[in-house]
Amino acid sequence: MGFLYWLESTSLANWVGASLWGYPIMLTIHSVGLAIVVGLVFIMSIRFLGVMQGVSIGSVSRLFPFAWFGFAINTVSGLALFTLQASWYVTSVPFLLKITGIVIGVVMMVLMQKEFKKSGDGLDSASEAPQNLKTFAIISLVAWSVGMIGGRFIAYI
Amino acid sequence: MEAFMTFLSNSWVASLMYGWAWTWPICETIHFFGMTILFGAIATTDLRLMGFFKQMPIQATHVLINIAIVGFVLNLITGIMFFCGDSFRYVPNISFQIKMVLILLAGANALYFTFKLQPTWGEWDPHGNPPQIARIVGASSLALWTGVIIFGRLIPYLGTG
Repeated sequence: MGFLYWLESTSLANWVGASLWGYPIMLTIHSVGLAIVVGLVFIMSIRFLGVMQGVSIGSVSRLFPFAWFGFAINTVSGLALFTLQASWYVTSVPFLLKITGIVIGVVMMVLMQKEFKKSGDGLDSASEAPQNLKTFAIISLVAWSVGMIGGRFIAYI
Repeated sequence: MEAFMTFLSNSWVASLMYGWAWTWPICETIHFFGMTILFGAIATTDLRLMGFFKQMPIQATHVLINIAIVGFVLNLITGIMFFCGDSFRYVPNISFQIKMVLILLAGANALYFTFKLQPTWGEWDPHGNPPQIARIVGASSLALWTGVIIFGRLIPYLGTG
């Protein structure tokens, strides 16, 4: 807990909390990053599950770097928001749910990307995703949904 | 306008929004889902139009339209619900006004693409760069929808209301 109180006393926390615009700016950046990472992961996941057969699985997988870019934005903005009330967030159930969802979601991103690396060009031209990829895609959809619902409800519970 | 807003405040939608403490947060959560679905589909199309991941045939982005429409409809419905519940705050709010203008511009941009560019895209190289005008339309769309998210999120913080 000492670390969390220290976080709350940093100059970053002060800026986010005390300046008029620190908090809204971070929150807004966090929303844009959310749309990028979750939006693109949703598109990839539903494609792996068989929706939108018109685009190939391989070409959709090219969205991974962009999704990681959104994730990077949200790691930074999320940490900035976290410093503001670190000791409170770690006791908030929706926050803990959100973090759990994100961790599982990120693991799924890594696992899905590994499938592509493993199979090389084979998966690029496949019209249907292998079972592994489908399983990861379902878990990924659920995990990011939980992450988003948890995140939204931090403000209410 | 005032009469219309009063009418909305007294409508059944407004009472639905306030009748149960969880209606508003649930609708907000659905609004976030709609946002990610819409943005994911649109951004994929826009990035391809801008010349990224050329492995994806440009014409294949057509299948993303239906996904984008699902997201948009979700947000249109929940958005109208918020508006009915709190129109007196939204109407004078500068951030809300900017968001609505950006949505209209993004819509006009999408219509231009659908009716002016798409009819000719059969001639484009599926794995190449589209004509410059299409790249501009893609970049504008990405910028406009990002702006929609930014000003949507700032509604509680910017201006009056």
